[in-house]
Amino acid sequence: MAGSSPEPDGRAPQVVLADDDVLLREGLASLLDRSGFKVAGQAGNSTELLALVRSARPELAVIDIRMPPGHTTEGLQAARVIRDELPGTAIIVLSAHVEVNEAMDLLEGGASLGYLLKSRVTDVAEFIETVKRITAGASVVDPSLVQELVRARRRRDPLDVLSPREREVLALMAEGASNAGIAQRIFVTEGTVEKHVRSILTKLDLPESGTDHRRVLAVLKFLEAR
Amino acid sequence: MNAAGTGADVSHATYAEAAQNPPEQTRLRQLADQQAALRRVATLVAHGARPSEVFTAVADELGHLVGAEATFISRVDTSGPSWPATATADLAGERPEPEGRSTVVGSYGRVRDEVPVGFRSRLQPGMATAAAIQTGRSVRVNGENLATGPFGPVVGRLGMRAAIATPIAVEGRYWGVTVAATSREDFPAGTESRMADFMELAATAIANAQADQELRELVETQAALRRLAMLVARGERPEAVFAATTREALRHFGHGTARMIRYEPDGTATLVANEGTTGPHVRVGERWEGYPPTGLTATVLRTGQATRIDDYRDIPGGEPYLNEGLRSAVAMPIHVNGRLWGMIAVGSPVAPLPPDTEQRMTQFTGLVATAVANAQNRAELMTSRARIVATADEARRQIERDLHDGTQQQLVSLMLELRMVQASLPAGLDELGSKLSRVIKRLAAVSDQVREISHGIHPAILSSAGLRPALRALGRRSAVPVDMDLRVDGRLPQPVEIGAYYVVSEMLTNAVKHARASVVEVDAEVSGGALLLRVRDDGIGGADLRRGSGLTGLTDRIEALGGTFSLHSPGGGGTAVRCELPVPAQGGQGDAGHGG
Repeated sequence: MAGSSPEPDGRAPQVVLADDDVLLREGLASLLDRSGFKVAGQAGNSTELLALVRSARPELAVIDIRMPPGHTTEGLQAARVIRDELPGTAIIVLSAHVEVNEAMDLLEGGASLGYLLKSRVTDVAEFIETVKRITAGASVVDPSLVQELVRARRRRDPLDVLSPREREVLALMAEGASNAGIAQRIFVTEGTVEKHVRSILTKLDLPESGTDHRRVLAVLKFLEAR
Repeated sequence: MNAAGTGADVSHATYAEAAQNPPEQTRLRQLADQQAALRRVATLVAHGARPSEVFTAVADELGHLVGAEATFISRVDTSGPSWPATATADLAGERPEPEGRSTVVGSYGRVRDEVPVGFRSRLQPGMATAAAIQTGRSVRVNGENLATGPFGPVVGRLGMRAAIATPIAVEGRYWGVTVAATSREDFPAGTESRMADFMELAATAIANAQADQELRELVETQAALRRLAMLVARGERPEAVFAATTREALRHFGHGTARMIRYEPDGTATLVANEGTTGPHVRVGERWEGYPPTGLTATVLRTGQATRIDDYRDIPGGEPYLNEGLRSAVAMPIHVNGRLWGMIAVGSPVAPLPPDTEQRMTQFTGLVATAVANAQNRAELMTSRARIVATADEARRQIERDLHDGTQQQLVSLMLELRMVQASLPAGLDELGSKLSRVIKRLAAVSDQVREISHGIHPAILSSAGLRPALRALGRRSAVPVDMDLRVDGRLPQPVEIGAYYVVSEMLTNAVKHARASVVEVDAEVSGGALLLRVRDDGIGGADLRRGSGLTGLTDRIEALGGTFSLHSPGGGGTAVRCELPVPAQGGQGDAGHGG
């Protein structure tokens, strides 16, 4: 599965990893290494991570959300600092469980952000594909979180106005898929997807947004608030 | 012999003659006067007059009857064996000098200003009062003896020349002494017996007045104690119980001030409540210091006994008390569980407090001790319950962390490693490769299970993000639609967040598993220092706290936090829970590590 470099200039994208579990970090490093990335360094906590990012200036940082000393959401805070200082760095935050408030927190930062369940890394091909999309500018939210949001039962559910197909498209929008990506996933043309998307936005009274990552955040916010 | 002299002589002679050989008419008139006087006193008692009014009336009537210009009635409390157990004349005569104090309880005529009600004096030789007690009979003092006695100066100022002191027995026990004085040369002979007769009859009125007063006091004290007991039973904070107790003490025993002081194990004292007068040294809730070494605080601490100060001017270091307007005070020790816990003191700005203050306060103090013990036990119980809950929560958090940072991480590592192995398989081993894939998939399922379990043990989001996001997540994951109205911003103390979370969680479980509800409503609001949580479903109702459901555990948890939890679940009428949790004020945003 060792793919060719995703960078147009042929250089392997640099990545730094942060996780206090050395075994897991090494496993992930080896996985990314074999998938066309160059692991520029590893960190066991936020402080090390920030120092590493500042010196190595990687294209991507893959960060465990829960790290010493507090073991709560240190990774999320580090992501915010990196986004402020080096907005060009793509960031993936991995978590053992996914929470919508954390996803929204992270995605407020703009493009090239990912919020995924940690266990996704074991589905290697899909994970690497997602990492590449994020590095290329997409924002991605773990499908299980989107499922939780879409499936939540409401007495008066605003999603009731959507057709089953539109619901499916809405969920993929929330996961961060582009129209082309959605078209590929549900086996229709991109034009059909565009029609669905317009219909959804109208029915739910959501603003038309220029970029995919803004669309992800808007849909997430809508789903959370419903 | 001039007319004036003759007149005086005649007058005197007539008086003396009348006293020694009273004609029938005079005797009858005296008897009628005495009866009328007694009737007036009895009427006063019947109308519920205060004892002081009754005593003053008795002094007044006695003065009229025996022709005295000054009379007073003293309550005498003696120490030592000199005060006979019963008022039997046989026992009188040979006893030693009495020791003790007399307190004026009723005063009439010229002595009112010099010897006012509340005036206290130590019994000493030469005093008519002391002599009356010693002998158990009326004692007459006149001429030189009166002028040179302990009250000589007073007697001189008032121009008194003769006095008779008569012991008063109430219900067969010596109670006090009445003293009548005249500015004439002397009282007629037989005045002693007339005084004694009258006082014997008036004693009934005194006894009634006293019994009436005691009864009223008993009723009032009981009412006060009942109010205090209610406070304790309601679980009021100890500080509130102390304050209420001190207020009652002031109402019933004090004349300006009451305060409660607690002795700390390190030998210091804390002022826990104050009512009435105050000063710069009076700071409730703070260290009580700078008190005089012979004052109440020090004396009670040293002796463990009731103690009194009749005049702060006699106490070195008593100035702060004088400055706040106190003259005298009485302190009662409070013993809790066999050790000296503290004291409760009452004070007065004028005369010394009545001599029976200590005795009257005894029952009160005993029950105060019970209230203190109850309040303390309750507070300790609450603390220990809260500690047990916090410890259990901390243990759950630790288990969640172990599962999360340990087990789950290892599972993910393991899966990654298997992926590596799979990737490095030589060509032609496709079957082994797909077996590995299946193993990895099963491991992924295990990992999902561990995640669910750890979330059930303690939702990490509750610690990391607080109650609102945690409840919203809970609602989304519920199988029954949940309508939420959460007016909770920021963080609350961790035990409150956890308690509220479990209430909602348990109600959602109940709605799905037992109530067959179609919707659950959750309202949460923080206002007035409390989190008010209301959860109701539209299910079949009939939930019972006594039937050992998860709801029972909630009651314990909420009560441990000092909150209230009530369940309303009529058959067919849905289930509703109302839960109120106190939210102690804390500086700014609560931090997640507050719970341990």
